[in-house]
Amino acid sequence: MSTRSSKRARGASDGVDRLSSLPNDLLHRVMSFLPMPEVVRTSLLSPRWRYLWVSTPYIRIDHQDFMDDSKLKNFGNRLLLLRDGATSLDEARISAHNVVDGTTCCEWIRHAIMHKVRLLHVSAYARLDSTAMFPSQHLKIVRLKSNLLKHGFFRQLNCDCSVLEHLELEGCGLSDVNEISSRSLKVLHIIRCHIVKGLVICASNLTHLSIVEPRCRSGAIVTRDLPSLVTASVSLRFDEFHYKENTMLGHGLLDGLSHATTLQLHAPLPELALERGLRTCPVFSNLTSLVLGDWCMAADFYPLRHILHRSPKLKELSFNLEMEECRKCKELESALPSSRGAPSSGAGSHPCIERIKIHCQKEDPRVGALVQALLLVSDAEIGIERR
Amino acid sequence: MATREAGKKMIMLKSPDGMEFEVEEAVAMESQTIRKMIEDDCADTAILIPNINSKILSRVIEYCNKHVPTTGATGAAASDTVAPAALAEDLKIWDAEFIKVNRATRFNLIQAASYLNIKGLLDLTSQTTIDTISDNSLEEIRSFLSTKNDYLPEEEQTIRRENQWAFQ
Repeated sequence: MSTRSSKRARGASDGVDRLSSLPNDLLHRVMSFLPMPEVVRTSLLSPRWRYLWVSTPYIRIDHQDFMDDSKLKNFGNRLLLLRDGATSLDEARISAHNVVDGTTCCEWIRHAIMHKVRLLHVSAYARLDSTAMFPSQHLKIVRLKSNLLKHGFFRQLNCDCSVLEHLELEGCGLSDVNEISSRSLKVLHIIRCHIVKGLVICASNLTHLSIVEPRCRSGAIVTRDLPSLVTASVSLRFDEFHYKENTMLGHGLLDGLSHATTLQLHAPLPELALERGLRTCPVFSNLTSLVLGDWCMAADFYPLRHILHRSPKLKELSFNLEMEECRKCKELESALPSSRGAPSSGAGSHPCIERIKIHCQKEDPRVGALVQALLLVSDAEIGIERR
Repeated sequence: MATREAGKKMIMLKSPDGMEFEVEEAVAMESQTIRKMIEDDCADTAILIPNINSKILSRVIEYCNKHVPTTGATGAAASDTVAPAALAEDLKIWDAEFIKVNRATRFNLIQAASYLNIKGLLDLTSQTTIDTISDNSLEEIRSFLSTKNDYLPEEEQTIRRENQWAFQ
């Protein structure tokens, strides 16, 4: 069939506009690779294209599309006002770094949710509160980057979004004491967020949780009642984690993680928040795979012995050692007895463990002692990978 | 006809111009449309792919063959041995060569990717179409798309005014 056009005259080869003959949904798909202002400007191409943009199943309001920031607000308002309200939105992306005020941003988000948006991505440096929310049976994925989230925002996300499955917060500030308790939520990522007062994570159907480098006072994050949890990862890196040593909620960071089968706990040496969490958390009854960071080697491997003691089904144990230290914890640690003592029923052995891997720096001098400690409690083969 | 060859399940795809293509089930299942047919047990005999001629279908199969996640003898994903980044880079280069086709073929590929629901191919063809038209003037784009300018000059002015907010 279609032969290579013999004349390659500039532009029109066969005189037939193949692209325009595609159905609307395919053209929308092709147009989705254009910046949104250009999507609107395709209306100039021909009558076929005049109103195509009004029914795209996506909107993107991005400050990078405008040389002059002041035009963004008008663009966003017009785009939402003039598009065909009967078309459901699959996706709305709002990227307005400090360019529009919080009220406008909340209005845009609310508009998108009212138009049945399923994936919402907002990166705005704006203050978002309950005025951004609207009850939704469509909102499934929410990614928020660099926003200040007020209390009412979470309340509605928990109660009024019945199919919300995936929530990602990156670089956000969370004021007040917040609770993430959505019953539909399956995946939660909290990445480098500033938690001003406290955060309780208690979403009963959550299967995957990651908390990466939170900035908050120690004890500000509590997990509990997560019976569906499969994998969890907690990574504490910043000294900011201890910028004030008093606790809002207590030491329940690990309380809710007891059902996980795969667990990663990273922190510099030592990390008192995790050590304290260990003291109160229940047995990790399903845990088969565990990755630990430097913190587990504090005080003659006290945290390591403690966590092994509470993980009866553990099969794979790995260490990711970065040789990082937490200055603040070191200061606080000096007030503690240097030996924190063995778990109540002694060190014991762990016959379930099948494999042990140690990833470490080339010249990490502590590995010998770690291997010695491991040999005392397990017969598993120990692999060491130095980088 | 679904047959077995070296332990791998094969699927027969038929184009409307009568050509038959025997492909591994995993390759065919890169298409969500075919995957659904197979999962719903509608794929016992050859699957007829309407509206996609043999020339385009063979290109689509070529794409799926390249993009199917490869598994080694042990069943471990190949990405265990080859760095994922290197693999992705290799695919990107391959894609760029693959999509060097004339416009008619590319539009046929868009339609085929849409009907067969192959996200990667649909993204590739759409992105390539956009890359070739963006950064050009309106007239150049019209000429490239062979779109006739059916607007009267005053109509064009009206639309320009109407959508002024989208022009920087």
